[in-house]
Amino acid sequence: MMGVLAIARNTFREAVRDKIFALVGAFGVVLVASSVVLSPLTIGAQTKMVADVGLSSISIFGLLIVLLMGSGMVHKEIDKRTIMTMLSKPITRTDYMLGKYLGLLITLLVIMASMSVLFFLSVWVTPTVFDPAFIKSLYTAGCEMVVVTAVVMLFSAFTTPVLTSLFTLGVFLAGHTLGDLQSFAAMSGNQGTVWAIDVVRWILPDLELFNIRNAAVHGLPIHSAHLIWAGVYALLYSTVCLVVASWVFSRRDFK
Amino acid sequence: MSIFRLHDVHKSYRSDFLRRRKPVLQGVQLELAEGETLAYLGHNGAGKTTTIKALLGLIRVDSGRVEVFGHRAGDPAALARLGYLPENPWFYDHLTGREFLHLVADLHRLPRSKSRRRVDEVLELVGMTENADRRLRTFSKGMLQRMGLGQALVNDPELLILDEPMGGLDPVGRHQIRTLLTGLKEQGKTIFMSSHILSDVESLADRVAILDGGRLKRVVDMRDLEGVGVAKAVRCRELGPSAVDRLRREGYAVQIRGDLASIAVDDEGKLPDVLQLIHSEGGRLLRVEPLRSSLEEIFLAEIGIRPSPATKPEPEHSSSIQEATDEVVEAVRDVQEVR
Repeated sequence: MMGVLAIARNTFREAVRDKIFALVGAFGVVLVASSVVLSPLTIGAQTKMVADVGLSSISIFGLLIVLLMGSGMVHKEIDKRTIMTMLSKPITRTDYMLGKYLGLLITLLVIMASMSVLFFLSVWVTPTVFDPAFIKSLYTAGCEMVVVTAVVMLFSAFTTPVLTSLFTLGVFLAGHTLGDLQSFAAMSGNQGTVWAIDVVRWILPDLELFNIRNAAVHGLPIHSAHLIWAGVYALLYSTVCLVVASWVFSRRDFK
Repeated sequence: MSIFRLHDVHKSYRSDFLRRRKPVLQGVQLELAEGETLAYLGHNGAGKTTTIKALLGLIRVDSGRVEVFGHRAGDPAALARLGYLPENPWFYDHLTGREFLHLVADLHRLPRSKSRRRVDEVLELVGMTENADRRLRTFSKGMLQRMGLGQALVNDPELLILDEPMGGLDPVGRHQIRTLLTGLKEQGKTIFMSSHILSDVESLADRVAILDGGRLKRVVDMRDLEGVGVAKAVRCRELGPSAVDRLRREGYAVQIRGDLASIAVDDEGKLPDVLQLIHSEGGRLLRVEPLRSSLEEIFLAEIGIRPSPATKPEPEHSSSIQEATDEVVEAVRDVQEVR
């Protein structure tokens, strides 16, 4: 475990020193400024506008950071050959992948937490009503990132940064639209399509589970059971991804 | 006791679009005894680095067995007892030298109190204490090499695996690393180093394994080379054209540069005749020196290259004494600037 934590700490430190947190600063300025400028224009719907913009931005920025940092993380180590030094130490390749995953996840969660603080600041400076559901929405956005980060690790274990980004983006989009596709397939009445979509739904993550932004913005009820299931689902799905990623990674040759 | 054992190891890589396999190691069989320094000699692409990667478990061999400290290659139990310096080392450039060594200490699960002391010791040993708190991205090649050796020593390993430890270093850097390695050898460390620089191999190794085209050609015990006769180069001045013609007629290779003549004498028994001839023709003898070391002769013979008898190979890093001197002066200036 000490090896895993050492790799995680190093990954986090690298992100901090690569000034990735400058992105957060830019995000904050844009968010607060846009909320202050736009909210007076939306008479009667200020709360919805500020909450919608803020919560959506945090999710999108989160995804961007995972893609930017995660897709090239392992590849960069192979390219610069720092991986030779790391894997010559008494750690397993699973330790290495877990450490990288944890480091990226911690970086991401710290960034999302910072963005959340800026979001609450924008709620505070504009005439927006604070709703505890905002926190629930941020929690499920965090759970979603736990899954997406594991998906990035899975692809980065065997392919290039560009393909990792494309595949992860594909999984992200499919994960948000599979429910709709399933409905369309049911309406079409084609049993083969229904069956195919069902199979794909079992393999790809159901990311709509984590999307409670609309409910939070419109004040709809969000049940605790949903939040618990979102957490459990994120843990289970990311574990499966990491097990497969470690297996693939442990079979790689480093020429 | 055997530290590692390679038994009939084969490895090939898929090399082109059609994914044909290109053999890199072909039945390599090698063993390293405790306390021994074994140099792995071969030209570029001979399979030296591939063998090292097989020992570390960084690649999976196609067939054969690789055991390190009695464990499967790449087993953390084996990796805990060795230190590895990669070829052209490059480390996390966002870290300082000290932070990097602490990261390595954490990977070796050294307790914090012990790791602090060990990191300081290692920095001192590799002469990097003064630069320990600088980012690695600001380090010169020689400093990175020393830091690379440092990270390999953090766990006080029983076995050191060094891939081209002097590769690309200037004369000062090479001297520093050679001195360090000599010290480690004297401490009783087992060392396995790949190299294609014969002078380094000769000064450090107990045995030399020669690899060519992925095949282990020969293992030479350096003690067996003591006192073995080698070809000589006779350097003289003011040797007349008639003497040069006579020497060439008798089959000697003679090189002329101005009034300097260099005569290659492959058979040591004929040396007195050549010296006599130079004397009788009014030439002025400057010196007699080994044309090639016997290790070089063995190496070239094993890889199927017939050396030119007339020329002594120049040092790898310079083409003349003047150039070598310039390099040393420049390197010393670099070191002073860095400080």
